[in-house]
Amino acid sequence: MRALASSRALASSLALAALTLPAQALACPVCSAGRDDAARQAFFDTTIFLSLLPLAMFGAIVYWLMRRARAVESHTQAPELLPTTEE
Amino acid sequence: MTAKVLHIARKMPAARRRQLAPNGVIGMIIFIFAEMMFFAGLISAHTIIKSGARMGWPPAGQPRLPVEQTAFNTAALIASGLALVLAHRKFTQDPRAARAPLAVAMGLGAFFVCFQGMEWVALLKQGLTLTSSTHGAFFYLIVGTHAAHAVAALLGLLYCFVKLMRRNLVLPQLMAAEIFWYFVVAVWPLLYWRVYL
Repeated sequence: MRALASSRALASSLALAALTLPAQALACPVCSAGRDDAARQAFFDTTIFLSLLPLAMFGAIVYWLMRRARAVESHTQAPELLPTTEE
Repeated sequence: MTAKVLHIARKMPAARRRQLAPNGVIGMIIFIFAEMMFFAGLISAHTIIKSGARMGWPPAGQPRLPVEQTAFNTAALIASGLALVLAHRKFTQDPRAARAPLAVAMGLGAFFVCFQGMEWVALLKQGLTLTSSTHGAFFYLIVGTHAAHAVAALLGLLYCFVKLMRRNLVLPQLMAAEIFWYFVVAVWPLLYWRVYL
């Protein structure tokens, strides 16, 4: 039980250390992140680009559909009440 | 009372089921979203490789891309998009009047693809191939992918043109083909900026 607690504490400490030293943790073996400023900036820019693009696309389609819904609603007259069998 | 509830229940779905856009248009928009992410991935990979190039970009010994000629070709592609906007407007007024602008849009699009093909032949002769460098690999991958989309979109426009001549083209079909072509037109300036400049 004590050994488990100490190993957990060790793992937590290592995770915390990795989080505080991101520039040193070159986890990806094929990329060149962190080598120089230009590459770091490119990674940052493309991350922002790839993160925001889907959000912008979904935002645009939702906005367009809302405008379409408003246009359809304003161009359509209120439907006639269906005949009822009971009042 | 029961009849009243049934009456309301019968009435509400009908009001809510009103179609906001044709299915073909929605389907094409979803397809274009996927394609946008595909091109975004290609552009991002190109940006990262370009920024990490130690020997300069384009690499030494590799031919320079024809920036000026492609700028002219870009203008032709944008003009094609504008002609298609005009074709859409004409179609909503009088479908027969859309024939000329649609033909112009297709002609300019075909010119763009042919011009790109000629550019490729010249670059291959100068030694820029898919395996000559990462510059060549990215150039042919990105521009080739765009060209494939341009050809597919042109075929879509051709299909619409044939249906227009037979007088059985409907607006949703034209709109779906239009959206595809607008995507091809709109993504190209971004590719030109990232790959050529």
